[in-house]
Amino acid sequence: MSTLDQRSLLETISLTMRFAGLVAVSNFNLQLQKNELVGLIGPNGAGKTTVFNMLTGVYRPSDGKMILDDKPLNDLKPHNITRLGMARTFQNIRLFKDLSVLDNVRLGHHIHFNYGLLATALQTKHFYKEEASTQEHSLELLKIFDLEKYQDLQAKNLPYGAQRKLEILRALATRPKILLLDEPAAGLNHKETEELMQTIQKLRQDFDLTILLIEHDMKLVMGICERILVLDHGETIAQGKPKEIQSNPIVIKAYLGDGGGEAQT
Amino acid sequence: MKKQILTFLIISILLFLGNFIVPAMMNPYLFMILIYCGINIIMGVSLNIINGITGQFSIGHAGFMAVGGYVSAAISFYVLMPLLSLFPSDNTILSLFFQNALFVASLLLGGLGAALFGYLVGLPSLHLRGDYLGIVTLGFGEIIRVIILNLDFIGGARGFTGIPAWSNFFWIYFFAVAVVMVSFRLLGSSHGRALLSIREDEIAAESIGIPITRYKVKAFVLSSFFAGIAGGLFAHFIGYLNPSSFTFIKSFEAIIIVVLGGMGSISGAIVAAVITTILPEALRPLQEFTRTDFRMVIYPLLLLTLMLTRPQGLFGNKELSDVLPFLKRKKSP
Ligand SMILES: Nc1ncnc2c1ncn2[C@@H]1O[C@H](COP(=O)(O)OP(=O)(O)O)[C@@H](O)[C@H]1O
Ligand SMILES: [Mg+2]
Repeated sequence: MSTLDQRSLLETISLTMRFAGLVAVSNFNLQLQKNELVGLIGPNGAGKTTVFNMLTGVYRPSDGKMILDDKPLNDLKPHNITRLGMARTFQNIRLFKDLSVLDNVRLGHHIHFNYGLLATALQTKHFYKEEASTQEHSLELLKIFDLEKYQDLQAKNLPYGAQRKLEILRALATRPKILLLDEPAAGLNHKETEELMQTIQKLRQDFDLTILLIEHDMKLVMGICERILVLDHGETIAQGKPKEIQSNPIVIKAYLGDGGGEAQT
Repeated sequence: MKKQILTFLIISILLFLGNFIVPAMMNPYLFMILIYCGINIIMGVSLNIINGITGQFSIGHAGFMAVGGYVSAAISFYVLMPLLSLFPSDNTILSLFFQNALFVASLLLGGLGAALFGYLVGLPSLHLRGDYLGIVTLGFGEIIRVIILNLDFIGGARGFTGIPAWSNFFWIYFFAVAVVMVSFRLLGSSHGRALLSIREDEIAAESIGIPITRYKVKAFVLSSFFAGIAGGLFAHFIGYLNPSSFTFIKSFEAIIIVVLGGMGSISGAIVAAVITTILPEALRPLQEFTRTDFRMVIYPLLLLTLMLTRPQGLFGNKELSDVLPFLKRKKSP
C-alpha cells in the first residue's frame, strides 16, 4: 500500500467481479488521490458500471479489497458507504420520480438531519430549524443548475437533461468526499455536454470533491480528466494521461473492435 | 408550540362536548356506524403508512388490531378492573378521571404489544419483496387468530366477554385525529420522505444513505402501534372480542381503504374509510326489499367501478390541501 507517498483517498486492490462464469471486472486496481478527477472509460459492457456497483456496495466483490479513508468497504451496505462519504449517480437515471424536485434534493440531505420520530410528531422547534436549514441548502444546490424554478415539479416531469443534473445534485446533497458519476452526459446534446463538463470541474473546486467519472465516449473526458483508466472485457488495458491514452494503440483497437467508430465520434 | 397546545385544547374540548351531544342526537344504529368510521379511519390511515407511503405490501393488518385489542382488554380486565374496584366507585369527577387515565394506559400498552409484533414480523420479512412479504403478513394475521382461539384466559373461541366499556366517541375520535395528525407530520418530515423514497426506488434510496431495512421496520412498528390502538378502542367499545372479528377479511377491508383512497394519500384514506363503512350499511334497506343479501354483490361492483374509472384511487397521491390550497399551513412554528 502507498503509505510513504501521498495516501490515497480511495484504493482498490485486485478488485474482481464474477457473474456465473462471466468475469465482468478482473483485478481492478485504482488509487484515487484527494481532489483528483479521473475518467473510467471503455466500450459498452467493459465492466465500468460494475466497478461503481462494487464500490458503492450494490454488488459484493468476488475478490479483492476496497479501502476508503483507511476503512475497508467490502462488507458494508450501500447506505453505510454513503455515510463514509461516497455518493453516486446512475447510468439509467434513478430519481424518485413521483416526488418533487425539491424533495429529491432534500432526501440527499437525509443522512445529515437529526431529529427523532417524537420531534416529528410534536413538531418541535428543533424540527423546524432542521427542516428550514435542509430546505435552504437544497435550494442553494438547485441554483447550481438553475433548477430552483422547478422545485415543486414532480421529478419525472423534468426535461431529460435536467433529470441528469438533479441526480447529481441529490448525490451532492449527501456532502460526499468522492462523487461517482456514471455516464452523466448520456443522452445530452453537444452543447449540454460541454456545459456539464465545465460544471463538473467547477463542482470539484467549489465542493472540494474527488471525482471518478465513467464515460464511454472517450473524447468527452479528454478535456477535463487528469488521468484515465481504460477497461475492456473487465481488464484494465491502459491508464495514464489523456494524451497518452488517445494515442495508445491498444485502446484504439479495443474501441474499434467494439463495433467501431466510438473513438472518433 | 403555543399554537399547537391551543389547537390540541380546542379539538379536545370539541370532541368532549361531542361526546355528550352526538350520541343524543342520533339513533344508536347511526351512532354505531359513526364509531366504526372512526376506528376504520385509524385502521386505513395506519395501514397507509406501510402500503401507501412506504410501498410495502402488508395483508395482515387485522392481526395487529387483534393483538392490540386483546392485550389492552386483558390488561383492563385482569389488572385495571380489580384495581379500580379497590376504591369505592362513587362516580365523582376524580374516579372518572382515574378510570379514563387507566383506559388510556391500557390502550397504549395494547398499542405497544401490537408494535412489538410489528417489529417481530417486520424484521425477518423485510428482506422479502412484494408478494412474499404479503404472504408472510397474511400468515402472521392467521397465526395470531389461531393462537387467540386457543388461549382460554381471553375466551378462546367463545370470545372475551366482560371487557369494561370505557371507550366512547371522545376517545375514538381523539385517537383518530391524533393518528391522522401524526401521519401528516410524518409525511412532511425527513422520516416520511425516507419512507417515500423506499417506495420510489430502493436502490436509489440506499445510494443516498437511507437504511431501508430500518425504515421499513419503523413503518411496520408505527403502523401496527396505531392498529393496536384501534383494536383497544374497539374492544372497550363493544365490551366483547371474538377471534372471528379479525380474519383476513378485516385486513382486506383496510387494504381496500388504502387503495380506494389512493396509495399514500392520507386524506384519501380518511374519505375511503368513511365510504367503505357507510356504503354496506346504506345498502342494507335494499336487502329487506329484495329478501336476498345483494349487498355483497353491489358493494364489490361499486368498488370495481370506482377502481376502473379511477385506478389511482380517489385522491391519487394528492392530499386535500393540494386540491384546496387554503388548507395549506404555513411552514413555520
Ligand atoms: N447483475 C449482473 N448479472 C450478470 N451479469 C452482469 C450483471 N451486471 C453486469 N453484468 C455483465 O457484466 C458486464 C459488464 O457490465 P457493465 O459493468 O454494466 O458494463 P459497462 O458499464 O462498462 O457498459 C456485462 O457483460 C454485463 O452483462
Ligand atoms: Mg455502464
